[in-house]
Amino acid sequence: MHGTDRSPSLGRIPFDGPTREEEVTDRAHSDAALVRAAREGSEAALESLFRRHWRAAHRAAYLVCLDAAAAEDVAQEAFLAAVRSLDRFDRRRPFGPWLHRIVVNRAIDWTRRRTARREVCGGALPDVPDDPGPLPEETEDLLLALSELAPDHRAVIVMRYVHDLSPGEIARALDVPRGTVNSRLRRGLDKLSEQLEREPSR
Amino acid sequence: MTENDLRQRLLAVDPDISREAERRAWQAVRRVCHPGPARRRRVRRRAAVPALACVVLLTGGVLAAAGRPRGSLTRWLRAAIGEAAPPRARPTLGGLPGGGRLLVNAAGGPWIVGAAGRRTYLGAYTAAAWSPHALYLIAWRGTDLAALAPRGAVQWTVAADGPVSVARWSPDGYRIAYLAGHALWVIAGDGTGDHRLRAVVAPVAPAWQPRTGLRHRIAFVDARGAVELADADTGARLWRIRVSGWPRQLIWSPGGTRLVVVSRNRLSLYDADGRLLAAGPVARGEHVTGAAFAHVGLRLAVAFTREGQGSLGVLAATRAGLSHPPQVVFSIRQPLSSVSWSPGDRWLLTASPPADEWIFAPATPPAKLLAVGRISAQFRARPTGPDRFPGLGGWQVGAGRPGGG
Repeated sequence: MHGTDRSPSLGRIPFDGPTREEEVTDRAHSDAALVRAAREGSEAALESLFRRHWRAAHRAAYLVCLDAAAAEDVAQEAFLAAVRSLDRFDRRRPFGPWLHRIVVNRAIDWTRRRTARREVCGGALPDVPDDPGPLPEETEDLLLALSELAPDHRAVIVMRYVHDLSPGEIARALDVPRGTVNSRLRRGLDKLSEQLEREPSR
Repeated sequence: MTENDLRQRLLAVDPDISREAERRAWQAVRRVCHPGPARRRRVRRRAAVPALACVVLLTGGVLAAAGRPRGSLTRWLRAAIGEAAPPRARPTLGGLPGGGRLLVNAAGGPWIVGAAGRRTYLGAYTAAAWSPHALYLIAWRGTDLAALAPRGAVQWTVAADGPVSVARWSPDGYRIAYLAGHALWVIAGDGTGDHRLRAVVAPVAPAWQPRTGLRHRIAFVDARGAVELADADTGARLWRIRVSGWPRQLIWSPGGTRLVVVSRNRLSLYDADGRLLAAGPVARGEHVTGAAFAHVGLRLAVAFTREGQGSLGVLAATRAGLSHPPQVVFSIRQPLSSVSWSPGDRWLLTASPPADEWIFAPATPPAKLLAVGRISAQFRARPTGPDRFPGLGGWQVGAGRPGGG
C-alpha cells in the first residue's frame, strides 16, 4: 500500500479520526520517528503523536483526578510539557510511558491541591467522579470505588493496570521506593474490592 | 474481581464522550507549538481580565461581606482593582466567555446571543426554549406555540387550548411539553399529535427525563404540589411523590439518574425511581433562587440569596446524596437569581436583577468574575419597550460547533 519511496512527511490525520489507510500509515511510523519529526518542526508528526497518545493520557488523568474538566486540563498540560521537553527526551526510550509519568504526576498534584483547597474552604465537594452519562453502572461503581482511594493509590493502580507498567517502572516514575508501590497496590486493590463488593449496581 | 477484570473495567472508562476534549487539547497544543510564521511568539495563557473583571480570591470559599463597600458588584470590583485598573464598567455584553449561544427571554421577546456577542431578536414572543441540539426553538405568546429556526424563521405553529406559559423540548427532540392554561400538553417535534396529558397541573416548568431510550418520560408538579413522572405518550403514571414545600423547579441530571426538586427553602434529590436520596433545608434565612445541572456530570450549580447577599455554589449530586456545604464559587452583596452552565461546563452565568447585571464566573474557584451591566436595556426590543429583567433561557452549543467551553 505504501511504497518505500513515499515521502517521509506524514499525512495529516483528519479531525474526525483516521481512515484505515491513514491509520496504517500512521502506525508504520514509530514513536521515535514521530518524535524526531516533531523535533524538526513537523506539525503532522506532532499531531500523530498527539492522536496516538491522547486518549490514554486523558483516561489516566481522569482516573486519578475523577474530574472530567480537570482531567482535560491535566492531560493537555502534560502533553504540552512533554512536547516542550522533546529536545531533552531520550529517543531510545518509549514516548508513551514518559508522557504517562508526566500525566499521572500532574494528576496527583492537582488532586492534592484540590484537597488542600477543600480543607481551607471548610469542606466542599467530595472526591467523586462526574456522571459518565452513558457508561454502564458497573463502570460508575468502579469510579465511585476509586474515589474512595487516596490519589497516590489511584495513581499506582492506573499505572499498573492501564499503562501496564511494572512496580519497578512505577517506582521510578513516581520517584518512590518499589516497596511503597507494592504496598500502595495491595492496599488499593483491597479497598477497591471491598468497595465494589459493598456497592452493587442497582 | 480478578486483576484482569479490573484492567478491563479501567480500560472501559472513557471520559471523552464527545471528542471535544481532544479537539480543544489539540488546538491548544498546535497553537503553542506551531503558532504560524506571522504570529510566532510566546503564547501565554490568556489573562481573562477584561476591564470589568477582577480576580476574587476565595481561599475561604466565601467572600466576607464585611469591609466591602455596599452597592453593586461593579462598584465593588472598581474599588477592589483600584485606580490602577481602568474603572470602566462593561456597558455591553461582548462575547460569551464560555462560547456557544445564549437564549435570553426579555420582556419584548427572546434573543439569541452568539459566542462573539451578536444578538438576534426572535420576535415578539413571551419566551422561548431550545431544542436539545439547539437547532430550533419553541416559542410562545398568548395561545400560540411556534417552532422557530435560530434566526427566527417559523417552522410551524399551533393554537393551544389556553394561554401558553412554558414549553420544554424533550432530549431526543421528538416531543414538546407545554403548559396551556392549567393543563399539561404534549406535541410531537414536528407539530403533530397534540394531546393533553393532565388537565390540571401546577405552573412549574415540566422536566423531561433524559436517556430513556424510545420512551418519553416527563416529570411535572401536579395541582397538589406533588411531583409526578408520567409516560408522555400513554399518559401512564410511573410514580408520584409528595415533597416538602412547594416545588419551584424540577431538574434532571444529564444522565437521567437524578432528579432535583427545588423549593424555596429546600433541595431534594431523588433517583430515577422516585426514591429520596437526600433532602435538607438550606441555611436559615437562605433561599434557593435557581439551580442547574452541568451539561455533563452530577455537578449542580445553585444560586442562594440570604439577606440581600447572593452566593453561587456547586454541589455534587452523588449516589450518597448532595454534598454539603456547597463549594462556593463566589458570594456578593446583591441577590442572585437564575444560573446557567456554559457549553463545556467551564463557566457559570448568573443574574442579579436588582443590579441589572449578569455575572460570569469560572465554575472552579478561585473565580475571575466578569460582570456586565445594563442588561435590561441591551435586550429591549423597542426603545420604549418594557423593562423587565431578562431571564436566562439556556446556554447551548454554537451553531455547527459542538462544545465550546
